Amino acid sequence: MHKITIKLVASIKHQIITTWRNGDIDQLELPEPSVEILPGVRWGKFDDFFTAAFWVSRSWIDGDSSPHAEYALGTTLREEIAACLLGGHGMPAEVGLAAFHRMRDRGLLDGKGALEDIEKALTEPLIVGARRVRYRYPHAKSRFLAEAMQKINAEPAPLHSALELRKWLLTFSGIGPKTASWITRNALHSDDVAILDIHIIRAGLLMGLFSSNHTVQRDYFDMEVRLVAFARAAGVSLSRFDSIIWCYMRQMHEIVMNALSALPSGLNCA
Amino acid sequence: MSGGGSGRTGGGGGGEPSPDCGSLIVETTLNSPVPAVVASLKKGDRLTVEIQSGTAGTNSLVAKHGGQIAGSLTPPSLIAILSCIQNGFQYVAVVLNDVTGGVVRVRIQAP
Repeated sequence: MHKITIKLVASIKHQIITTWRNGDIDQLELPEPSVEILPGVRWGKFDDFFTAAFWVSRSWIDGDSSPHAEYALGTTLREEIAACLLGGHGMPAEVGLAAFHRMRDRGLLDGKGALEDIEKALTEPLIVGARRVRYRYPHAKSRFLAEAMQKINAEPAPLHSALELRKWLLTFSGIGPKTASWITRNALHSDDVAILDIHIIRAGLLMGLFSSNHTVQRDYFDMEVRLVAFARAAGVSLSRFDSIIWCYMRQMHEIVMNALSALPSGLNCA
Repeated sequence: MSGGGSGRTGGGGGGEPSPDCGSLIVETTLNSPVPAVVASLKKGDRLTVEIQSGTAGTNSLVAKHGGQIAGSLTPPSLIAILSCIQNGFQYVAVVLNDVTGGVVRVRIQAP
């Protein structure tokens, strides 16, 4: 039996999680549910969905071999910018990815082609699974993409620092804090930036990390500080946490919505 | 509270693969075992698997024996099982070992 103990907060009692892995029993000990991992944020029970302890235990149980461990979309910063710029904004992940693959496959990411060629490629229906799908806002996204690809050719990217890279990306047309953070995380595997999309925000609400007073438009960087602190207190890399939380929140949609509706009034409008 | 839309994906492959719900088999252990219920378990017993709603809106995946919660289930493929249950599939947890006060191993599978 392998036994792992995380003693993050002074605690006498612990909750013990067991799992069956590689023909043996593994155990993880976490502080008891009533202990706070951060001021105002309790660990909660590990087997109750969406608690802090739930996410820490999922990270431990799912292990490095889980599909959540990989998140990069491209192989270069250029590709990462394109993929993230073409995704997001309420668009299904598969649609943004299909658009990115088309651009990459047609050689339209070198920043030297005509805007019209990008627009034409983005206006044509995409094949997602067995469906033909129209890409939303093809003209605006084409312009953003063309400008971004040209800017990469003209300016050196500050790859020495995640925060500097994000700051630089925020100067691009069509890239806000969320997309800039997404690119930065994927390109540098950074744990200093958080991608606050609807799934992460809902997870933060459910575990008490965020409050109804937070809005991403106004409080993005304050919310990011809380999420970074949470990951550090849990001893799990934020990029890995983010990836796991996002996958679970996305696939557990019905359960998530029920849990959100049970939050006290004023906390359920994410 | 407000937030932007989603669109991220992981693994460069278009998100999570769809699990094969009908043939899904997972070995795991019972967590948070309820001693009074676990004491009556025998090797080969078939426990029902369901999402349990608790007070204050909490939810967990549990195994029940005779309508009583025997413990919670937190297998590596939890996300796949939950996704399948949300899509109408049902599962049982078959007890794999003689329960003598130690860890209860179960195999989650279709009934």
